[in-house]
Amino acid sequence: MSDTFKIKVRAKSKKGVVKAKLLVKHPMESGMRKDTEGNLIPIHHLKELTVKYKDETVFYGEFGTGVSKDPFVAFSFKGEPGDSFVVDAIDNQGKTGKAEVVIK
Amino acid sequence: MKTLNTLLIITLTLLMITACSDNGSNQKIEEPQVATPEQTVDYQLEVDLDVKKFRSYYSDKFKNVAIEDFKDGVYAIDEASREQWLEIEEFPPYELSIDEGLEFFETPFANGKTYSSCFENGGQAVRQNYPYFDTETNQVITLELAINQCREKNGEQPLSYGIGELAAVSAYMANSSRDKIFDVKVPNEEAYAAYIDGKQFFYSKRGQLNFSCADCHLKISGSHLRADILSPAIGHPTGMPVYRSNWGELGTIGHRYRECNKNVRANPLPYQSETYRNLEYFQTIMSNGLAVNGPSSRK
Amino acid sequence: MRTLTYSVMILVLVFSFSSHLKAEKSLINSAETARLEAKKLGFEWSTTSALIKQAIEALEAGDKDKASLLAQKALKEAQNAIKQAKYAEENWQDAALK
Repeated sequence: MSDTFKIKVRAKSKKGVVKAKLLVKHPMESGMRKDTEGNLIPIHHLKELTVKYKDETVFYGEFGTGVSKDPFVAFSFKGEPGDSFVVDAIDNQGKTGKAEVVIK
Repeated sequence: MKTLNTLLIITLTLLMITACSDNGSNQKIEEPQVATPEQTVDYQLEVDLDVKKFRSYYSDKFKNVAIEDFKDGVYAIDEASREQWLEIEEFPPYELSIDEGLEFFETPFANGKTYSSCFENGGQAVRQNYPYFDTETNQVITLELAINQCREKNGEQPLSYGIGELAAVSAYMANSSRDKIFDVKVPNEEAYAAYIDGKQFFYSKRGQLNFSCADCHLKISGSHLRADILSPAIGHPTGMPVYRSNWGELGTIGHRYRECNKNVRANPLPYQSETYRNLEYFQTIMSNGLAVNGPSSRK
Repeated sequence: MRTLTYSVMILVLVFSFSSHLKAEKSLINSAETARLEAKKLGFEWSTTSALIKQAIEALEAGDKDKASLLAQKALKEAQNAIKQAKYAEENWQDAALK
């Protein structure tokens, strides 16, 4: 099993405002589900997701078992096309996801 | 007494004469030999007429919808859900599956070959050619069946048909075929029989709830079934495979068939059974003229 | 595989129980036979095999009446499914667009 998970990002800037959309590939297992043999599937969910733009945190989220598989996150912040920002995420099993995006 | 006798004899004689002359007319007259033209049924024509009726039915029922827009299913007929769907489409959940599908598609099998070796044009832009009737093996071949046939041909284990890797490969192949037009043909009598079998399934009531596909997706399409709006059957296969929010993942048309059958409390048939393949054949033909828009996202 | 399991279950049932449960066993048998017929026709309901399973369990637990009731319900379902299959075969054309 991989130690990293994929994060897809789309970001567009219009009139100085960036609209960013993320799709995080993550099973988001609540730990309550059982497999076909009746065993509990271990809890595995995103814990934290941070977005930094020019050394400033423009988005920070703490995720729990209430969020479903492959979380979709959308947010806005002030920024210009051509600039870049970084997304960093970590889950409860210590696996990480990262994305560096250039704003369109 | 004598007159009576005479009369009787005359009557009998007359009768005998008429009887004889009747026999004469029963004489066989040699009719000139006329060759009767062989009854060739144009199966494609029959099917095209069916398609026409199907299209008119939905065009008449949903007057504001252009025929090509039926590929968007319920989002073509309901403004509110369409808005929500368009927002999701800006960054759709099936994108991850397309990426996965690409990886699977390009990863070689143990023997070094890849999926592209089994398909026309290397498997690019071929979705609109499925399902087709294979005149050699006399059966309907769906894209999913072809994918597993490719695996078996190359010494690999077949994958499960509903969700997972096979669905992702199907998604990748559908995505490479976007906007190509479906034009599935019925080449011969056997193909027509498969088409009719699929058509029969579509119109047959089944399950404890006694519903046919046509009941929900033809007769009362556009109406609400609890919190959902019933989608028109025209355009059903174009967006497959589908990311259903309900499932939280991507699934094939076969996955949906089984789910639908369970919904009416009919025991589902096995994936890729002859009946389901014939049904997909019929459904895709009914959507001829519409464009490939898979994979898609649905509620 | 499931069909085989059920058929074996029923055979075991038939041979392992004493004769005073003949009526219930026979009913379960009939229900299973009908269910298989409906399945062959492609019209088996998803609810039937669970009822038969419950009937067998009730019989093994000694509840004759419950077993009989469940078996009858299963039999009725399977018979209806067969009727449904025959109806569809004869009448589906009427539902098709003209």
